[in-house]
Amino acid sequence: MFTRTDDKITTAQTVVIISCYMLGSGVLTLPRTLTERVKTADGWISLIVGGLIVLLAGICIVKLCQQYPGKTIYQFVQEIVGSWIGSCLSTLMILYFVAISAFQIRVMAEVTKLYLLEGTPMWVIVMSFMWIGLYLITSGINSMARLFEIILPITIVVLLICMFLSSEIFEIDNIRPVLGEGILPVLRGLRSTVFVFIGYEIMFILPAFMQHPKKGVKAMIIGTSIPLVMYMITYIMVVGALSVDGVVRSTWPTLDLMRSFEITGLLFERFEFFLLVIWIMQIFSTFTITFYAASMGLAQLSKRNIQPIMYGLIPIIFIVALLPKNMNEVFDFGDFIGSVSIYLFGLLPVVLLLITKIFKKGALKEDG
Amino acid sequence: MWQTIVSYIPDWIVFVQALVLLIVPIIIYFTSKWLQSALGSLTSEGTTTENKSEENTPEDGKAEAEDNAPFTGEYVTDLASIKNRIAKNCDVHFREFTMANGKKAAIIYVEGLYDKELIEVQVMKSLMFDDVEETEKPSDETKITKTYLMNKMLPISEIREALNLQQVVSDILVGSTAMLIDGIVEVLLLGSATGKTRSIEEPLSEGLLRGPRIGFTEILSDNTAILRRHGKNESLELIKFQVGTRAKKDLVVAYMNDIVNSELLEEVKRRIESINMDYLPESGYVEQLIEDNSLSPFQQAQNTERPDRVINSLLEGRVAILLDGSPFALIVPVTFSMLLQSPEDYYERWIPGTLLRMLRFLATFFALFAPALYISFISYHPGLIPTKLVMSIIEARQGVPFPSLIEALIMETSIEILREAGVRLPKPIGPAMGIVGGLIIGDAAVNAGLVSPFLVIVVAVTAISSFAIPSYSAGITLRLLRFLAMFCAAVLGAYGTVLFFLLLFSHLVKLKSFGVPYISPISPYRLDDWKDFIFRLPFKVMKRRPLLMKTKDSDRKK
Amino acid sequence: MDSMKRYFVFALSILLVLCLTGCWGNKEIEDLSVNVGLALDVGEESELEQELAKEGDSYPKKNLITATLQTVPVLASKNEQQSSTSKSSAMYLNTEETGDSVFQLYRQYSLRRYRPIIGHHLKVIVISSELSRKMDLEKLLKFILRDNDIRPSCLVLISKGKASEALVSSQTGDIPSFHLRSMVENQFRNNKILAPMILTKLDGIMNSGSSFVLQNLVSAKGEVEFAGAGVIKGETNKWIGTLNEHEVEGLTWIKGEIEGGLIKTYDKSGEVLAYEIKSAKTKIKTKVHGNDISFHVSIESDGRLIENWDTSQVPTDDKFLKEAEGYFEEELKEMLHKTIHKMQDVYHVDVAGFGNKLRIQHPKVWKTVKKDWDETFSQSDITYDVKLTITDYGSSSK
Repeated sequence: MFTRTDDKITTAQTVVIISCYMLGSGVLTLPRTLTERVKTADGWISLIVGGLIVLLAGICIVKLCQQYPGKTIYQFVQEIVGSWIGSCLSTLMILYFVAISAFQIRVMAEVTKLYLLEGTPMWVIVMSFMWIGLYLITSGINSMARLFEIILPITIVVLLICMFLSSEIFEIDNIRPVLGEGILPVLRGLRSTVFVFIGYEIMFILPAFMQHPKKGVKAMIIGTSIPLVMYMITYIMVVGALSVDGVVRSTWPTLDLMRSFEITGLLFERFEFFLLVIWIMQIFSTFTITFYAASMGLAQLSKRNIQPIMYGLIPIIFIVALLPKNMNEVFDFGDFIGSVSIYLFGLLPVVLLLITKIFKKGALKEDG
Repeated sequence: MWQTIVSYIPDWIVFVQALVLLIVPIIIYFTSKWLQSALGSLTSEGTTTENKSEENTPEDGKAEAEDNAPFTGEYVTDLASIKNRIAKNCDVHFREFTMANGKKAAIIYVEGLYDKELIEVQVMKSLMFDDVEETEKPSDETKITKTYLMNKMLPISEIREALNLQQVVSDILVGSTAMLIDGIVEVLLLGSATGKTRSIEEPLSEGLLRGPRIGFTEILSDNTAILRRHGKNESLELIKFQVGTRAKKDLVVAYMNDIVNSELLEEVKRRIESINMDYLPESGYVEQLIEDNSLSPFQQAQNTERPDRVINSLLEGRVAILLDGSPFALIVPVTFSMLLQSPEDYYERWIPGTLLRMLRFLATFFALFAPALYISFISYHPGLIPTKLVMSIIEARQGVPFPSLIEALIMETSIEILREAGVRLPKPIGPAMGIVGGLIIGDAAVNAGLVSPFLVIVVAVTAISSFAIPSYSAGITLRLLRFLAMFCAAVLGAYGTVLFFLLLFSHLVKLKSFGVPYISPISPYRLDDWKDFIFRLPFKVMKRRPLLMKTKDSDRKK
Repeated sequence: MDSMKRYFVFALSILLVLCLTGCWGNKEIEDLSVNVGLALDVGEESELEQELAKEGDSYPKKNLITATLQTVPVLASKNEQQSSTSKSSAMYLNTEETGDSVFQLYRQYSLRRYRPIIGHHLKVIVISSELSRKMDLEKLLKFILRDNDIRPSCLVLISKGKASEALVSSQTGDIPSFHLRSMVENQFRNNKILAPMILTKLDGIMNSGSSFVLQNLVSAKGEVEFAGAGVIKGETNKWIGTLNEHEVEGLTWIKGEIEGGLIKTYDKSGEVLAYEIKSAKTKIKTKVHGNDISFHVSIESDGRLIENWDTSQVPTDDKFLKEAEGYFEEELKEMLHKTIHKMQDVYHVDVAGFGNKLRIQHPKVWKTVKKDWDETFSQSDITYDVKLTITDYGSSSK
């Protein structure tokens, strides 16, 4: 073979993976969750601020990983805080990744059941989805990255077209005034924006696979700004069309936006189908990444081959996905994951980075 | 607390489902593992070397020894031993005659393959009548040596000599004429096969409006000659291999020695050497024996009849494989986008070229997904069709007794049968039958209420689209996958179609052709290669060879 | 990491086909009837229903609502089953159901027709003013808003008379729901048509608690006409009255929803003068002084003098154009005055979006007055200035 066979990914692929991970279930629910907290149309400012915060956390993570080239968090966390706490943290992260993939699948299944396949049992939807995910991840992160490189451009183009078409019912008055009630609502919204940017934590793992780990920060910045722009456009268009009062009433506001207009004369009148298609693809990417991250964690923690672990994880994710009993619990589940994410990946990298710096300095002095 | 936890423990049925979820992929895993070992994968290097060592299994030691024994120089015994071997064949002829100097000689040839003109005029005539000039007459008549014969008596360019029976017999059978002369130890092999061959014609499977009308033929030497003729180029190298354990055939690997990546070349050579098959009638055999993944529906080598395409690929750093007896050359490695490109894209100006390419990508999409989308919309998502269209579809489908899947299967299957029959139909009645099959049956099926007119449109568009793809083999692949897509759509509607899309691409991203990702340059992103992908930018912009080929010389311009 | 299971492709699909041959939620399109229009009236059982009830069709319900479901297409074989409301040649089928829950009424449909109903293509909802006077609009539309089939792009209209009559057409080949839906698009021809109120927007407005108007319909002899607008009070979401066509014109000017249309007036000698609107721009400025909130509406428009009956006047004369502009401005001011009067003094509601302007321009003030906005609005001062410019006079200069 004259091409590389090891699982290395290019910087562009890293960007794509981060973006695909971030663009998940949030596309459909973000306008509502954000507006519910902000209560004005200023959510897009929250998004920018939230994005910046996430970016900071992400850069911390990258910096941390650069101290341990070629190693994932599961491997080096033990070096930093000792094997006991390290294993605990790794286990937490694995659980977290399992929870996210389960959550994504569940949301996907709920929406599919509601708008595409009424009457089809949930397990059929979930099972077929998971098998294809498994098929993909068994071939490693390189193949995943390549698939995402196909999915992401499609997503961006289709999403932009959908949003552009919806300008028919867009009313600028609905997103005015800017900062009418001061900065406070913006801050209120921060928490839910951080949740839609879940995905930066993948940088705990990716630098180990990068061809040029030095470009991690750059990848992080671009990787975060793509979803940021997408989310902002989505938010503005949805709130602009549905108005603040309308958005909070809608379960899946972005879908409702697509369902709110018909363009006769084009080949297709209705565009929610396209939105759903790209959305399912994005969920697929988020699911596969988290699935992969979890199995990678388990493999490295137990020092076993990753393949059997992938197989073993499917039923677990499946059961977790079916745990919430109704939509409210699904959304609560999501909120819970969001809060965990903030503590686990917002604070942890900073703490770890501090420990590393101090420890390394100490080591340096000893050498000198 | 305990109560809440208990209430979250799922029903037993969920556990059963989870078990199914786990077991099915495991079963598939082991089945595939078994299949893989049964088929023998080429990507794993270990297994391939074994084949070579086993190649020369001694079948019959005695016969072997006899074959390899040198000729005695005794006319009668040598002739007898040759006769003993091949005289059974009705097309092998032995012509014995006496040379002008009184020596006995024999010519052995295969009817239809030997060069009659050459043998009669140049050989027999000179040996039987034109006795050697007096001046140089050798002193001792018995000492007509091989060298003397070759230098003075046989005005032929192609003379080889053979020392043992094995060599002689195999050469006679492929068309050389053997000459046995009393007193000469070596048997002379004169000329080569000149059996009836086809003249060079326009490639049948890859017609073009603009571009060279020349196509490969079945004769390897003609084909290599066509390649040589592309221009003065010292870097084109052609290496010969012999493949086939029982019937040996020549196989030529062509490449540009200062462009091709040497690792790629080594890999191609390795795979060709590891071919273990008694006979290879067509390059399709080679293709299937050297491909990376035999279980993939996608071809991993491009076959073409067009020399211009081969040369273009060679200049991009690819390797071509030509097999004697097959007008189809193989190009490796192949990427998916190559299958959608036609040489005409380059011959036409870049704007129409680009447009044509986009059209082909669109056609590919239709060929794959049109019936699947039809099924999912009709059976699952009436809400996604424009309202007015819904009304006319409902009216049109009144009285159609089948669900859309069956309806689509009926039409798709019959159009596939029609296509298959069309290949075999004699030329004069082909078009007529096509009209009967396509128009009349389609119309009658609609009138009879078997299918709806909308489906006929969908099926027709799909069929036409699949023929818009320049590579016939790729068209077949798409048609095959289309049926899968239809089933997915029938089971899970549009969701199933999306899943099929994901599955297809999950497979494609894994697939490699000789180490090159099959879907490059879509991913990994190589923006330089995108100049010649969906777009075909002006030549001034395309300054480099494809990056994905990792060529030695990347600049197309000096 | 050798290449894993590529044939998953085959295995999976074969498996899918084998195991899951039962197709869930699969309903062929021709077995469905497409719901395109819905009319909601005050509950009153039709003759047919009464007869059916006599025969034993009864379930616990209050006869609050009569829903008329319009479905298409009507197939030739089904002619004899059509309900009494539609002629046999009609392209549509109207089915009346009386009861309370709108959802239940939809499901009752399956008891009478063999092709179940789907809501994806619902285009129009017509609500009779009578019903909306009695019932909260939100209650009526709750199901529609929540349903996953019915698209929120559906149009909502008010009917002065019986709503079901609006879904009847005397023209053959005409489907009333499509007819109504397309008529809304005529905004560029006539400014008596309000911007379409789709469910999405309605949902937001109802949630915000502000008052609004819905396009009103009148129907007679199988013909339907847009006439004025029904005013819905935000606090109760109930109908409180109508604006006539003239006032709707004024309203579209204030809201800045003009896409085309005309102003017609009479000159001093009583001859007709008409102005075709080419462009119009409305600006509303809010001023807040302590507790006093006042608005200033300024309207600018370009247009064409399209009709003048007084042939002695020629439009090439600048003086005449100025004069004509004066008439038109007068007329427009009159119109605005009437509209604002109706809103402030008769109905005490703000349906022209003044509140929205206040929210944008003075968000803090808005917060304090939001709750009782309709009353506050009725007390506030509204001034306006109008500037119409005749830019050309078409293809005839005489």
